[in-house]
Amino acid sequence: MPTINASEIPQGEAARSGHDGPAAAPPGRPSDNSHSIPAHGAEGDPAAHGRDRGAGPDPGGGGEPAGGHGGGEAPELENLWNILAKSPLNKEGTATHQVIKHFDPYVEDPTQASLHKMNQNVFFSFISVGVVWYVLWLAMRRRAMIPGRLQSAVEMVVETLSNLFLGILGEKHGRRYLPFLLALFLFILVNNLLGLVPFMKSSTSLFQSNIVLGLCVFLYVQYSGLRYNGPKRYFLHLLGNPKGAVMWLMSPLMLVLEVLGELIKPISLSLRLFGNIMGEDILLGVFAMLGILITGALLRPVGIEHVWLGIPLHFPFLFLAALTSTIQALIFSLLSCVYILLMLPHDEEER
Amino acid sequence: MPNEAINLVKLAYPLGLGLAAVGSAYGLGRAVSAAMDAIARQPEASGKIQTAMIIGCAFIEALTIYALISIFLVRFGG
Repeated sequence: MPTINASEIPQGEAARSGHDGPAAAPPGRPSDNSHSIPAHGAEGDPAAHGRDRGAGPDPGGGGEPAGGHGGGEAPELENLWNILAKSPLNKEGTATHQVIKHFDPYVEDPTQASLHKMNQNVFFSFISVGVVWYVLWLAMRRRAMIPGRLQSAVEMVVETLSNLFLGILGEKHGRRYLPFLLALFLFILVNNLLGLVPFMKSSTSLFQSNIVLGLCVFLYVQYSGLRYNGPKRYFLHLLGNPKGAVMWLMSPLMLVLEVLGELIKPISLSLRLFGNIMGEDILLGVFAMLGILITGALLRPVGIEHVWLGIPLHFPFLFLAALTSTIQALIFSLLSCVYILLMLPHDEEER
Repeated sequence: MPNEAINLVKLAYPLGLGLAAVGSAYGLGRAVSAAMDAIARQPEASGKIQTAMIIGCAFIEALTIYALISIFLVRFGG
């Protein structure tokens, strides 16, 4: 989703009426990144040119959102690549430009926007994987019987989650599914929380990353069901475990229902995660933009044109976002655990 | 379509989201009140009850989130 530009804050009704509907709106950023004041059709307000483009770092954390929006774009906090793309370092032909062009979503035409946007999120996914791997490696470097601080903290987290998952899956058979579930939880947790760090963005706030996670869960659940049950019992489970003539007659209907149910589960998982994280991203962006607007409106009578800082109105929502991120990561992994449980045979529940 | 009609149609999304929020608020209220009753009856099981309550709340919340996502997908072309 494109970030917002400070120079396009609509100053009044005259600027606002120039917006088209969302379908016809031009993208909020110019295609060339080397100019500092974009000339847009509807936002020709001369007072708006005095605003900055939000490239300065904000001490309030979370990056400085450049306010205003064209019709049909959600505001977002700046992250590393957007700032780099808008900075004067980004000249055509330099190596910096090549790197930035690979990650920045708005240099190419809009039909390729999603591919490049995915590259930006892939980069932040790699950062989160690196963080998880590094912390775990640091903790387990010297496996002491009397653990140090980091090792005991990591052990506490892993043990709590393991007890939770094993309590659902059963002590005997549950251990082989633990690595996947724990990795899932840690990955999603760090991904979600990365959006709160200044100049970073959570890769789960985009649709593609969440669909990939849902697909991973789907493939793993089906594979573990197949491997544990064998193909014959797996197919019987899809038919609804028919016993008796009536159930065999109903089994095609059960097949359709079960297949639909199996397909819907990862979709609902990923949509839940995506909606929550993107919602909180947009919430943070909107409130930060509101802070800048308020500061600009307050300072305008005094005569200060260039507004580089703003009231950080989005601070309370950072805590809400941290809580929601943790809960959603937990929900995702818990639900995957429950789906694995549903694939295992039900008559062997001896805990 | 004339401008007033377009504005009326654009009102539909927030209204729909508000309806979804009402439904999920009612469901969440019932879930949390049941959890409170259970904790009051047996305080030593509050950990498990709290976990189950959080999971149930996430399910109920997800339905409102689906409505919110539809707004994003239509309006911002995500």
